Amino acid sequence: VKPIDPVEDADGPLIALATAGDPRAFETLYRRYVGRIHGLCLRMTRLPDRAEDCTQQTFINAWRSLPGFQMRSSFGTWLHRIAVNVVLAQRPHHFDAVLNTDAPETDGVFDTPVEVNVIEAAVASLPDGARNVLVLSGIYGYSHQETATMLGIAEGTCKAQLHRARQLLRRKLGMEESR
Amino acid sequence: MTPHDADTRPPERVQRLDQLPQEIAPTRDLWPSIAEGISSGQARPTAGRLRLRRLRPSGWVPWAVAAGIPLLVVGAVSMWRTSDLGGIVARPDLQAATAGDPAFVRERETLAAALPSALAALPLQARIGATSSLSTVRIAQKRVLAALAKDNGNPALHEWLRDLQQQELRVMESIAGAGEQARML
Repeated sequence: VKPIDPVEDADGPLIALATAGDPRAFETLYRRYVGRIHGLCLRMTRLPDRAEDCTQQTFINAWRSLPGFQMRSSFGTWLHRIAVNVVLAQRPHHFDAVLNTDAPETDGVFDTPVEVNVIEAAVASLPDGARNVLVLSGIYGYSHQETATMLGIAEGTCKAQLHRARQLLRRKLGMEESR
Repeated sequence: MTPHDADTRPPERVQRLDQLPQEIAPTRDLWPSIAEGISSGQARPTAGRLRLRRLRPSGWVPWAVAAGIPLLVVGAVSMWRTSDLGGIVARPDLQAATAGDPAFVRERETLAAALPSALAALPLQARIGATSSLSTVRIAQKRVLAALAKDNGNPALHEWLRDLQQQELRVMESIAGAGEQARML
């Protein structure tokens, strides 16, 4: 993995300042990345309130972990890893009872066209394992290896989950179109 | 349509996953809560906990080359200093010193202690440039140290390290001077 050059990378100076303890620099980084982090958390948790809590915790954890950030990956990827850990760590305590529903409450969450909402709803209705892989790999473009590492699963499991997710999604969207 | 038909139909919508927006803004500004969390939270681990063994020795050359960039930034920061401060010149008695020299170590510790307040006094752009510069030099030092761990007899690496230690001192001197000047304004 090619290290990120702190001079060439647009985030580098801000990261250096934030690492030195400057909250204003960190706020700039927060504003730059909050949409991506919240998008990931919302798709993984399916609950707007929980997604905001996870987003908040992600940035707090990132601030505390900044001195250990080696710039071996981009700052955005590093934040995504933290976000996935936060979501997975909170899930057993908070989500199970809420998420075992057939109708995830995604309508009205996104201020986007109907077509996008249909796909988002179909993604949200997938089982946790398949959905997480699909979100990281299909929407955020991470490789099988990166996705597997983030979720703490084997690469083979990741591929199988993605295949399963795509099949389920195809069925759900097919049913939607046939209505 | 059967489920099988659904499986074999052209997966237009499935393939449009990557067209979904990656960014979804939260409904409220989360920063105030985050700011509260980071100001009242636990103390951070120090940078000293960075694990040098994770740095790749093979990467030291570009970092060492990149460390030359700070000199340009030092020049930019020096614009902040008035003529009576005399620009960026390392103390002559320290120019040949290394990290093993007690005078060098004392000077470095003094400058390092003054660094946070000096940085805080600088305007944002100067602060970003100065911090980036210092960060680059320090990362380059770690790279060279990692290379030395595998090839300690290499005189060129030792020379690089001495240069980088001098560069770090000069950058910190520059920041301290600029910070002092900014406080006077």
